[in-house]
Amino acid sequence: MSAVDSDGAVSAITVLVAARTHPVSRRASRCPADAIAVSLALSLSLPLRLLSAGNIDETVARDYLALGAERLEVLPCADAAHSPAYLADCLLPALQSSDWVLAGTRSSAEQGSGILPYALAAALRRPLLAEVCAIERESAQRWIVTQALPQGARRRLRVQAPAVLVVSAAAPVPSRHSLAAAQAGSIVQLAAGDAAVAAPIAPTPPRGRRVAANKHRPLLEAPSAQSAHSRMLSAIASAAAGGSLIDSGGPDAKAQAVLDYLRKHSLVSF
Amino acid sequence: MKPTAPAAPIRRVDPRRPARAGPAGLLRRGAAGGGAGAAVSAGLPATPAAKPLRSAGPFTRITLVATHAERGALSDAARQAIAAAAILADADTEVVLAVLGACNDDVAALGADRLLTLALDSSRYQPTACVQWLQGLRAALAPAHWLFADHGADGQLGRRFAVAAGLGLACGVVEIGATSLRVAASADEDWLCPHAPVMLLPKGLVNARLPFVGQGRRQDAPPLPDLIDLPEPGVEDLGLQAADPQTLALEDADFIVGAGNGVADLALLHALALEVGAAVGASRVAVDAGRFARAQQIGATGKSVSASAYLALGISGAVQHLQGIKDCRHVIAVNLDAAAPIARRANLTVVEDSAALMRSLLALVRKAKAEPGSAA
Repeated sequence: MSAVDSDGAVSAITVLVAARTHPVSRRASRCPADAIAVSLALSLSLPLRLLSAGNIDETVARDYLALGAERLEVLPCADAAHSPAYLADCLLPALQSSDWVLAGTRSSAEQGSGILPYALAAALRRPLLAEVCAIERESAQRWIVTQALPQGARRRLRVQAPAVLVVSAAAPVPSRHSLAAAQAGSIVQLAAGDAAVAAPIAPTPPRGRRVAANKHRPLLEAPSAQSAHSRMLSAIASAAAGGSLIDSGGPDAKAQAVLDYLRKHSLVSF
Repeated sequence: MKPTAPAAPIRRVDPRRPARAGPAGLLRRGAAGGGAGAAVSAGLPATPAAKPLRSAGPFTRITLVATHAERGALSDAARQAIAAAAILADADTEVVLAVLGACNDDVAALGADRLLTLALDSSRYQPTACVQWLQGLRAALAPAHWLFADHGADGQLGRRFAVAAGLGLACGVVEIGATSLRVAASADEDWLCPHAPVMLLPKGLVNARLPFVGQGRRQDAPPLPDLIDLPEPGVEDLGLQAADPQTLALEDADFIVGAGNGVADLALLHALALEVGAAVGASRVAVDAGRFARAQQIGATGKSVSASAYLALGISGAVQHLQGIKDCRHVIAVNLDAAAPIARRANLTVVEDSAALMRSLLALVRKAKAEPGSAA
């Protein structure tokens, strides 16, 4: 089920990459989350291609290639800025033939909604695994994927191809930067696919107006008609009023009280 | 030279004269020491007045907030999403909270009118079943708006649900108002959009302090036994691995034993931490004394931790340290000084020598582990 490219190479893995605007310098740059996904995919030593929907700067594309990939394909896509629905329609034909699709976890600070992999997985009818932090290869078609859960827990899953994986931004992957690879890698412009899908496959966000951002972002607050006195009281009141105090009894009784508290709130399992 | 006038008594007003509570709870101190109203002993009211109900119903529309509970408690992001739902709801809109897992929190104070809980084995991998459950709720309740916290498992669930249900989704929200929301478009510009059917709200958009409460009715969700065994096609669950707390970064640890200047017996401390399965942190004083590594320091110049349980042994609680444990859910303090600042932050304060308590607690834990049936 692997894609055979025009020059005969087989690509089992497709990694979706995109440029982002750097939050400080405002220059187009490589997205760190996507770079982690590329590095993780490269560590598997399977045929790999990088795919970008919409135009990507040559320098940003070379930055991705510097991680060690040989090939970056650019799929022309008109409205790549806002609508994940259109983006998913563009990408779908190019991904049908790829066993594994990897993407990075976009944070909202990078103007990413993170919805694209979910929409693609639903359209391709493939399982989606989020927060992937490690991949072991059992065979080309079967991987053991480690998911990062809160509080340092990990879940191991055996996944059969095809699947869509969203790589965790905290995946411990060493990244390299090789100038030789950046210069030797090829950037291939693909022909525009026929993105005339009848129904949009990703949920469309409500269309809005483009307006200047607020410098100060106001919080959503409940309207309340309070006197100045009660506002002052709520401002100086501490959030926690202090808990219970145990100062009588021996150390054994107090230790029992601590253990009872831990058990009552199911903080320990013994 | 003028002769000194006879010593007229200077009229002094005692600033601590008894006060009386006037209308709207204001304290009145007349020059004569009083006025109409009840006498007030202390300067501040002892208990805040009970908050009014947001809406008594009847309800015609529903806003649903779906979230996961961990160990029976909701995360801060989920609390903010519930608060947002309560603030945005009008008088005939009910805020329904759907929780995957048991929930022991006071949901009325969070602003929810109705709580639906689904008993769920959180150790299993079952995203499809969770989405199916929400689809069932959608068919039964037909909520006008769905709110999720854009945080961890809740954010994933919201995205999966929006895609499966084909509903409009707003994510990457940077600002939410009464009628509209803003999604970042570039560094200087936003998309100003109306509210979407499904909204994912990251932490920090909402002030979760509400001047009202919800009704907080508890109700078991429609039991869906056939969902629990829904297979995940192509994915086989190989099980959950709990992290080893000793090797875990402190930011990720779920249970931390913190040691301060009052802890001298380090071997005992590490034995206790190993036995209860906790990571070891320390205050700046203990780190500066060379008893702990710099990476173990908790506080303003060290790490900020968000553990579920923090056992502070011999820590007085300087503000810089309290800053570091701001996000901890349960704080237990062991200190010889009952007036130490940490006692105001702690949920449980034990006045005891830390070494004596550690010895007793270690013995208790070892006993509880040796005879598992004895646990209450």
